[in-house]
Amino acid sequence: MGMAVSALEAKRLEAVLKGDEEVEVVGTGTDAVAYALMLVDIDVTAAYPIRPYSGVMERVARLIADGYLKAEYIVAAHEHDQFEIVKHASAVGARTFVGSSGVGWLLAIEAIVPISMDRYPVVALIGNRALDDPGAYGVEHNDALMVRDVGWLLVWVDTAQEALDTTLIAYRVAEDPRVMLPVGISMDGAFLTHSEHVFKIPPKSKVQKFLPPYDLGNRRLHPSNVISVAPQVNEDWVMELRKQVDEAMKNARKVIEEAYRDFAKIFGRDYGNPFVEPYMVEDADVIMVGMGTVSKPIKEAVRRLRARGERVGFLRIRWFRPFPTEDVIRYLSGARVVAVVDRDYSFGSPFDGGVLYTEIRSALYEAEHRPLMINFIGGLGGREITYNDAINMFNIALDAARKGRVEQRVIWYGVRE
Amino acid sequence: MTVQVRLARTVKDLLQMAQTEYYNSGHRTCQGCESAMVLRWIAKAAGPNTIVIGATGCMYVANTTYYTTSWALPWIHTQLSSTGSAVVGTAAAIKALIEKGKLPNERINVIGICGDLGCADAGLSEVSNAMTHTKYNFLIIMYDNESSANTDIQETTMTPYGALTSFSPSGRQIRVMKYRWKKNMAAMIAVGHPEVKYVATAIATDPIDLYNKVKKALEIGGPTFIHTLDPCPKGWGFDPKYSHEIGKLAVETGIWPLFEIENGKFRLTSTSARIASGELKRKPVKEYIRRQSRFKHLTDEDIEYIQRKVDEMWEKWLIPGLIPLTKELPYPETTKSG
Amino acid sequence: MSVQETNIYTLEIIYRGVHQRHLARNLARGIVYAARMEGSVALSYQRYGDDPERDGVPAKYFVVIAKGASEEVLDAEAARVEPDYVDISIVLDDSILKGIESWAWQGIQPVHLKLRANGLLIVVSRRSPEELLKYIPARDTPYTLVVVQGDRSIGDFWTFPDDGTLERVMGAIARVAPNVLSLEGVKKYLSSLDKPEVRVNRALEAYQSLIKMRDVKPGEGLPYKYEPPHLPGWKDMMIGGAIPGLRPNQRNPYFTGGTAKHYRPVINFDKCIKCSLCWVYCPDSVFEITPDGYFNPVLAYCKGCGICAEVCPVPDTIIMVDEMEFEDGYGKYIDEYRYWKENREAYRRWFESLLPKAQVISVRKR
Repeated sequence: MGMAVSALEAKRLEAVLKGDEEVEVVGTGTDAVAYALMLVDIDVTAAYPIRPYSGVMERVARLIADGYLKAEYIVAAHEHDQFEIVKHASAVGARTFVGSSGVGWLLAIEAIVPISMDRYPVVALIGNRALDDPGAYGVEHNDALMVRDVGWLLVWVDTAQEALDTTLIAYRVAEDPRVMLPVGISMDGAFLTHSEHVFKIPPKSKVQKFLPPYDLGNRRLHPSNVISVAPQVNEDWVMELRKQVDEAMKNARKVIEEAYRDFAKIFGRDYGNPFVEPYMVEDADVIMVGMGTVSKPIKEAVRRLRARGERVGFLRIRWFRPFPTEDVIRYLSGARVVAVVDRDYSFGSPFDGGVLYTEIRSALYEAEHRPLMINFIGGLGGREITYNDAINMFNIALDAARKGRVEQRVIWYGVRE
Repeated sequence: MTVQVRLARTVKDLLQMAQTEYYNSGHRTCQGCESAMVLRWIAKAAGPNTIVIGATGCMYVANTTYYTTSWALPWIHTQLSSTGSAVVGTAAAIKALIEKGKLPNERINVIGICGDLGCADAGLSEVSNAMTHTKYNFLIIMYDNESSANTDIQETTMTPYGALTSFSPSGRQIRVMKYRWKKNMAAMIAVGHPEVKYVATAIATDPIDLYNKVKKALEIGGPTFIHTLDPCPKGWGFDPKYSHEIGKLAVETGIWPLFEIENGKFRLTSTSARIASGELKRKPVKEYIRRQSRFKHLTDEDIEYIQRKVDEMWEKWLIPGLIPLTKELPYPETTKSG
Repeated sequence: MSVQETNIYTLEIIYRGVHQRHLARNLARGIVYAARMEGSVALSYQRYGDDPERDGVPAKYFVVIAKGASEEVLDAEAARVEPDYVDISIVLDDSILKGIESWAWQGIQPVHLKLRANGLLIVVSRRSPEELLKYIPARDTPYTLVVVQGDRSIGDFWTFPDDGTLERVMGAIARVAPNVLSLEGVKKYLSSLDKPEVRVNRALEAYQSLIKMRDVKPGEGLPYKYEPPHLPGWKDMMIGGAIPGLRPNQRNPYFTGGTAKHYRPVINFDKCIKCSLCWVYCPDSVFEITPDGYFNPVLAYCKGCGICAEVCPVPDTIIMVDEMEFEDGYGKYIDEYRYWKENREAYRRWFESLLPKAQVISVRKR
């Protein structure tokens, strides 16, 4: 964190800014996002410290201080201030970036909602973190999920490379005139924000081919374009405004597909299905589902169980909003048991389960074949989920598959009695 | 160093210099709304090369209803507490876009408008933070009608001592619920943010003074701040036709000192300067207070207490209106007697 | 009895914003209490968009009463923004007859927009029904105009002028719509308050002698046709809550605010010294500067605050005159300056005739 750019890195950063070749560097997940911000040439960003997201702001500050990026860097009074700063910068036509974690993200929520309602394509990083109280700093997804209903696109990444690439894609999708909605990129605290990875930084010249300039059109706030934005509204108008957001969110599915297709073409990295990452699901009896870095131990468990002849697979949900309803049905409805790992919880929700579980359950209601479902609540507050844990979870699910029934729908995996 | 900008000296100057309306007829404000007067004269002083940001508050809810507007300037809503954030974001974006050649290099005024609830209470930290961002140019106006007026006249920290609000009624058990003294916002901004080049108080009753102060603030650059006191016929309880007169009385009784701090130099202005020089004698605060039904429950002793506090400000403060420290330290107790 | 034959009755109280907020609320609650006291079920609600009221801006309260029924009967009326129809419309200030503009795009609505055929329009006024008809738009269905004699009751945010208007209106309802609210119910309620005798007597006085009625036939009244708004659909609106702004000096075309006034400024251009103070101090930018340097109030946008009259340095040059002295309204107003330019003598006579009726401006100037 807060590290200087080494001579080696300086040479490579200059190369991507000036040349046409990608370079390889070592850095954290938040560093990767910061390099993406350099490539998309953000104009304004606002910072406020809270871990684990704030590494990105430290890296951006460094990139600005050393001249790799030219942007207004505003240290805010608090997170609400941060989000309002970028909202208004975006309204004037600036490309913006912002981020937060846990309670900071929640403090900003009153400012977060108008960003989507006013249709400003702000991109934010959420370094996922448990909510207080007590003050906790480990990963949990409840922070980002708090805004699942208010018109933000939400995406989870599981590697530094994906973080960088997704940041580029996020601007392309957010700023598309058919969308014009903000994107929140979720990154697991510690496991991705604070671990060092090797990743590639593509050249800026290619980014410019991928990402057109930010253009607000007739909504740009400027003395030459006299508009009023968001005057007080009565019941005559609100439904129509919400409907516009609904339409934009629906449009986003197509726009995301286009963006990944172009991304593969221009940068040569193909993510396949943009919305979900299926892993050995084709013939699987049991499919585990999760978001973020939990993919890593689960994939290991899948390989080990497959080696033992168990037909298991994994589906990583990448885009949570818009929700990949069709992909969820396509990949999961053929399984006998679907086991959802939630690094979050929704107290008092249907069957007292996690958010992802409830959403997947809802999507599968329309499937011709509805699999049995188990929900593992695990890894809260940053607790590890190891591949052995994942194997144990699979075994519970495999047992249910054999018996044809689920004995316990929601299991707090590893909780001390 | 004084800013070089053409100022209005007379009402005729106003007529000549500021004929064009940029905040115009057709808003939902009350009859006799002095905050609407403030907006009208700010807009005139700022002119067309301006972006206006309006925080939630009376003048947000009242000044526009959706799919219509009263603004001939680009205008955008910001959240209740976010005026400081919004002006910084806007000014920063303009600076960045100009430096990157994405906007023509010309001065665009950025004005954030917030009420006392949004500025002095909810948004104080944002405003304070904004005031330290000296590389950006913007003006924050706090229009102070001494209550949360749109939401039904509730108490804010800027509600004066003793006033009725929906949160501070007078009852059988407690006669005076609002016991807190009003915050000294302009002074707080000026003293707490020494890099700010222009801070002032103003009132729409004195539009020449208001107009000039807005002009100066915009010209001098960096973060600037103006606090206006806006008589509110609705919440203060007087016939709307008296809005102007009540405002005059606020200044003439010395309750509302008009001043400016330009590049660190403090100066009482207009009527307040004439009071300080002895040219005018302060009127008793009773003349102001007894005209408003929000004070109808106050006793003569209550009013004497307020009079003493105002006298103290003019006679004992290190700088009247600005620094509430007496020349003889420590500050003597001023608890209410009786 | 002209109220529709149903045992659910809806009443509407239209009042002059903050000036009558206590009166309207007390009246609405009083009607509900009185209805309860005679065994009916009832509820009341404010039109939420009017809350909190503004000085002068017309606002509405609704009361629903069901006779001899259970609470369930009110379910359909319980979560409404506005009722579809009202059986009785009570107008607490006669100058509201000149129209109600609450929200942008809704235009200026006639005071009886919600009144059913054969409903009752009850107005507190010193004028006769015949006179009041000059201010009320004609409509397609008949109704009964009821005048409760009384002065306009004006309070403020903190003050309820307990001047008998509430009791008189309740007495009037009992007289003209006993099936909605009986005199017994009204008496029972008023007797439960402080000063019961005074209050009951006020209601009785109105009941017995302060009511004038007139049946109004279709087509009688002002030729004003209200066009309901056609709001754009979501595909036709700009996204993100953005809307086009105004041009400099353009007034808001979709909202005037002018129905807030119960007084208006009338200018004696002969005495005007062109000092511009009226123009300077108008919070609503009402004054238009004429080519020869006068200041002409664009009355459609005037809220009638009276600041211009207060700041005018020449006595009796801007006077505030009761709206009921003028038969214009519904968005169309006299152009005072043009009138004066066209016929100075006629204008002078007109102004002289209004002068005795003008509101008293600050004592010190008179």
